[in-house]
Amino acid sequence: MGLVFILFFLNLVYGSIHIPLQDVYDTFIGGNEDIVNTNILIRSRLPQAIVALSAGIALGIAGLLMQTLFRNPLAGPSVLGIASGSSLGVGLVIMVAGGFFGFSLQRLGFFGDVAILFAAFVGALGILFIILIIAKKIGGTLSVLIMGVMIGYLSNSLVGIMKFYSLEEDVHTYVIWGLGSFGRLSLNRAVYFMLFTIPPSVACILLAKWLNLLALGDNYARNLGLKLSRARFIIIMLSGILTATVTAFCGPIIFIGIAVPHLAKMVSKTSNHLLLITNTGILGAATALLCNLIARLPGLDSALPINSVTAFIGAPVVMSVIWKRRKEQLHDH
Amino acid sequence: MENSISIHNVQIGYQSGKTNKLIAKNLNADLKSGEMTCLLGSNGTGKSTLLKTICGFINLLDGEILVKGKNISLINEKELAKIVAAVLTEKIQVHNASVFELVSYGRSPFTGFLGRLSSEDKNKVNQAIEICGINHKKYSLLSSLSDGERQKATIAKALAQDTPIILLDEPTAFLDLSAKVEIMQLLRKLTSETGKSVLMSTHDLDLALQMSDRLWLLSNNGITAGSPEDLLLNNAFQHMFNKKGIEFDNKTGMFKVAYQLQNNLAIKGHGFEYVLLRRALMRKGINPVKAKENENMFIAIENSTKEPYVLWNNNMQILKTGSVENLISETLSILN
Repeated sequence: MGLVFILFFLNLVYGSIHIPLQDVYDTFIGGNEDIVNTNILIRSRLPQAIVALSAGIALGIAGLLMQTLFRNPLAGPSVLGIASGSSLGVGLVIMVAGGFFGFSLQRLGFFGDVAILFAAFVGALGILFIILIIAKKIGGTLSVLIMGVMIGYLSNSLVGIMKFYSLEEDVHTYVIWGLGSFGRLSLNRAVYFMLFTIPPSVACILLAKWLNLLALGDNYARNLGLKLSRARFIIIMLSGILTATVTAFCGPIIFIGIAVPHLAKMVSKTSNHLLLITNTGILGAATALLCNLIARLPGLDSALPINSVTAFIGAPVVMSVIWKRRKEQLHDH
Repeated sequence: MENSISIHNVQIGYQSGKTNKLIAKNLNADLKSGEMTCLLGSNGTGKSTLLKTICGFINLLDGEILVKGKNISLINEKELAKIVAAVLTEKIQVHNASVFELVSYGRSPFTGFLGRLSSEDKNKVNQAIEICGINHKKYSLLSSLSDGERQKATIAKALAQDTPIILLDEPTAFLDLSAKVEIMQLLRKLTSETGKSVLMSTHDLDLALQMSDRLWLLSNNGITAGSPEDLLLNNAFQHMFNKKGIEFDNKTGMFKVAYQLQNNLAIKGHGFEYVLLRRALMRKGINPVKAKENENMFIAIENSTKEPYVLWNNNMQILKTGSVENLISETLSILN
């Protein structure tokens, strides 16, 4: 928790433009004097920190939910094609709807936001249900992953086709969106975003008991009194909402959803989701803030793409997970 | 005695689309309270399917199953969770789970929305771990346990569920003999000390015959139930093993492998040395017969000496040895 506060604070203090600590203090607590620095803090750094914090919590928890639901340590919003599903939905709305009705969504403001959010949600849920059906029919860690990756390719190719036929302005909007960033929202919308993501994330704590049971296997969970279809449905809905909201507002953010739950499992040393969800939320916020901080380290002329930074931190975590699993399997036989 | 489970005219199988794949029909049996019952049957007769049906994982195709007097088709998961606990063949793989955590998940039907354990819950969990004899592994990770310890932890979880009935699907598979015996003794202890009813499927015929109160012999066309001894008296096992290769030995009450025997060999003697020799000979396709007055070739046994086996051929002592292996190889070289 303390770590999150420190990182949040550092996110405000550090950036490509140097702002003295005194000014940060003046802006938020005392009266403000320097208009330029206050502007940077309020218009850019504060909303970015809020968005990174919320997105980190949401993606981490969504990833944990998926890993337990599929009993697959390599599941996550970006790996299983869930984020691709959101992208497809968003692509449809930005490019096709725009081309079809002859206007650009960018000019629609709030209504446009809602449309994009809804499209991302439908896309994410659609893919989640497809993956769930595949997981039930085929089973096995690897086959489900491969299916997820393939579905991701399919939706990317659909997006590619759409790009080909769309207005240049819309394609530009989509490409920028697709790069992923925590820094695209104004303070107002950042607060909205937080209100959209934090409550469902906290609500996931209520799923802890179900997740503990599901981790034992479907039949054991049922034997302990769990209504499987209801539990699965609610878990999918929540992880879908979280992934879709983040993807709609920030674009696809990779690796946080898959890597953070593993960090949390490593730190928590328990299988109880009551603690795992809490720690995943905290570590998710910390990781996203850290990535955002690294992306805007002082000395860089402009910010690095956030996905390069998350990949740089997340990929080694995923690799070590596979490495450790290999060792455990060797140990088993 | 009261019935824990009653099965009436049940058909079991899988529903796939509109067609049903029938596995076994005409199933009728009762599980008595406080008894350990073993479910026996060849592969593919539907042992797992029957257990899964009683657990409510699979719908039954026809008939009715009562657990503690309640029809399983009419009660929900939560109610069933307080009556029937299951130990399944699927391996539990939960990252970072300790034995205590696993067993505590067995309390789920009784805990609140967040799954927190009350002090009573904790007591039950500790008791279950204690009874199963894995107290020294209480805080060990599941992944560090041996197969036998893991099975005991799973049984402890079922025990913590505090149900009158425990069903186990092949709990002794993949264990070595001493671990098999340990698990079955543990289950016997549960029935006698806590009054639970245990129904377990197994392929370990000898252990089932010795240790269970009652057997259910499952075939595709019904269940033959009874105490092991009564079933032996009624030759009920012959139907189960009507394939070649297995014979029931009426002298020992055990099953033995049937061999194709090509030669006879005369033996003079008896005792433990004879029993061992007979086993080795039969494995090689030689039928030991009692020696007459003047045999050309025979083996004499001098009990309780260092070299009890003497091989004779044409009135000549060929070999005097303490090793059955040497004896057999010499015998075979003469016979062939």
